Amino acid sequence: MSQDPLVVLSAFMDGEPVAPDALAAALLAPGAREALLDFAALRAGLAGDDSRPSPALHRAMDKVLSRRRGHGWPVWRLLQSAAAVVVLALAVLGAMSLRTHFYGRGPEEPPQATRIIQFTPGVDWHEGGPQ
Amino acid sequence: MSPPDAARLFDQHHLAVFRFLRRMTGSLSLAEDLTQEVFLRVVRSIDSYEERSRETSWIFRIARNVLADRLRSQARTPVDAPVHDAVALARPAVQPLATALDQALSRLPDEEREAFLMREVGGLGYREIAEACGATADAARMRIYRARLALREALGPSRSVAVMTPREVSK
Repeated sequence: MSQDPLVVLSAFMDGEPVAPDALAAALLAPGAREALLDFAALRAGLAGDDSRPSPALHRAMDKVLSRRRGHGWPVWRLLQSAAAVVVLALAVLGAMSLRTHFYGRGPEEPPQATRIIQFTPGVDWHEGGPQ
Repeated sequence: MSPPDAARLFDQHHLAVFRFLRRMTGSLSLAEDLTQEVFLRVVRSIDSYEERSRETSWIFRIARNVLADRLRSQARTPVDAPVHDAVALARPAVQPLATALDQALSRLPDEEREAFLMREVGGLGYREIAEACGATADAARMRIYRARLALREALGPSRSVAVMTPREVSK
């Protein structure tokens, strides 16, 4: 970076990094104070500009921007929704497979009896198997 | 990575672009026309926006191109009109400075004026100005510095300080 005192002061005014040594030297240079005040006055002069575009610009741009939003939104939103559904489904499947992996399938109980059948020994069956 | 939202870009940057173009052209109506053209180009090219470029640099590069295209297609606006625009808008306390400032700005070389205004009106940093202008950060620093010296010379040190109140100086 150039060490010209006014270049350093100009960069300092702009919030750009300047070496502390260079800044110290620049501030001691003849005319540094006046230069800083003049730079600040220029900034103040430009900051007084509160001009704004007319509402016509906003109306024109609103039209363009809403048309673009209307045109591009559904496809983009559709893709986002599809991606969200896929991610959710994968998450549910993953959670289920983890549960099976760590806890097994869970207790398997016999079904409830719907009728009772009684067998009489010696009548309905015989010891020693079929004869 | 999805492209930036055009509506947000417009909301965030249109005032800075408009004021930059007003200072560059000296005309409110031309600046408004050019600002619209800038954001139409932003909308058209938003899908090709590259992440490595900063939003502000990208938009001001477009503004610069729009202005260059317009200047190529028509003769440059005389200095009289801009000065009247600026005077009408300036606060009474700073009117003399505003007039002299606009005249002095109009006499700066284009490169220095655009770098200086991107910094002071657009709020861009040296790197952003460099990206917008296709230059280096050092070149941006020197252009702004030269612009300040030339404006200071044109306005005269006592004159530019005289219009400031002590509170403005201490800000």
